[in-house]
Amino acid sequence: MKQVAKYALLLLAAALIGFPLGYRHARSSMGDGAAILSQALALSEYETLANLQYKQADATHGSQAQLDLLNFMEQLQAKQKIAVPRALDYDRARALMRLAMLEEEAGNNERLQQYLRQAQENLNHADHRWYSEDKMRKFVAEADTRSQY
Amino acid sequence: MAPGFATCVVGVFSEMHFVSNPYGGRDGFTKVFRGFSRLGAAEVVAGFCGPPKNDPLAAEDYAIRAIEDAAPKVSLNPPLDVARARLALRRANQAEKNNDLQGKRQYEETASQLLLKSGWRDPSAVHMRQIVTQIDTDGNSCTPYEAKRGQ
Repeated sequence: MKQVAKYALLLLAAALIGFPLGYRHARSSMGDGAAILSQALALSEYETLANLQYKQADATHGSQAQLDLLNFMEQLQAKQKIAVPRALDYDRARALMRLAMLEEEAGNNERLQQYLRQAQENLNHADHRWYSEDKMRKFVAEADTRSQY
Repeated sequence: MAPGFATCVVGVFSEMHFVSNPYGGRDGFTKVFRGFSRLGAAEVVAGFCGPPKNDPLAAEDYAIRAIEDAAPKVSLNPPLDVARARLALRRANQAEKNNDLQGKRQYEETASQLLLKSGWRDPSAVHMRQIVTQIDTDGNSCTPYEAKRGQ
């Protein structure tokens, strides 16, 4: 009888130690991957729709979609731990540069400069480098010529 | 250790936003976020080459409705008509495969109307089809020819 109790206690102790260990191990190995996948899917889908509007629709709809995308990114950053912060900075800089290009077409120089500066700040945050206006224009032009969305 | 690992795996899986129900989010933003995760995942599946193994279009429709319901509550206004147009075009392609030419025309007309409403310079179904083919080609290993056939 004593032997059975001894084994039962051993089993209980092993379970009490093993359960949290297993839980922690799974959390650290899978939790981050799940967050990256969820954020990548949501953000890339939002960007696809907003960029389709930017490339295919009139300036008003294009601008509205980019502003909405920026709003989504801001709320995402406020509500969740960003899995790949650098990628978000790049995406935000691209959206801001697209807004800048739309403002330039509309002849709003002040807004163009404002969005350009914000885009530069985001890239600086990502890369710790300051990009000139020319580089910023190339950065968005390359992304824009690559596809229809 | 194994039961702990298994419990956590189930927990992590249920927290994956593209798996969980978008209507079940704890706040408006989480609902929108889950909706977009699910819409993105369904789009990836819809763009696969070869015969689809399930119905990603129903999942897309469900996600769009969930986003539409939650987005205004958190001051978001995503271009959902573009998502609806893309969905209508995928359904037109399915109708064509099933020799339902009237259905195909109706879906294409719906897609055009939605794109016109969204301010598109070229709201034709032909143009949208080119874009969807490009999205599918970029999104996975389909060749442009396979992407066209896979629709």
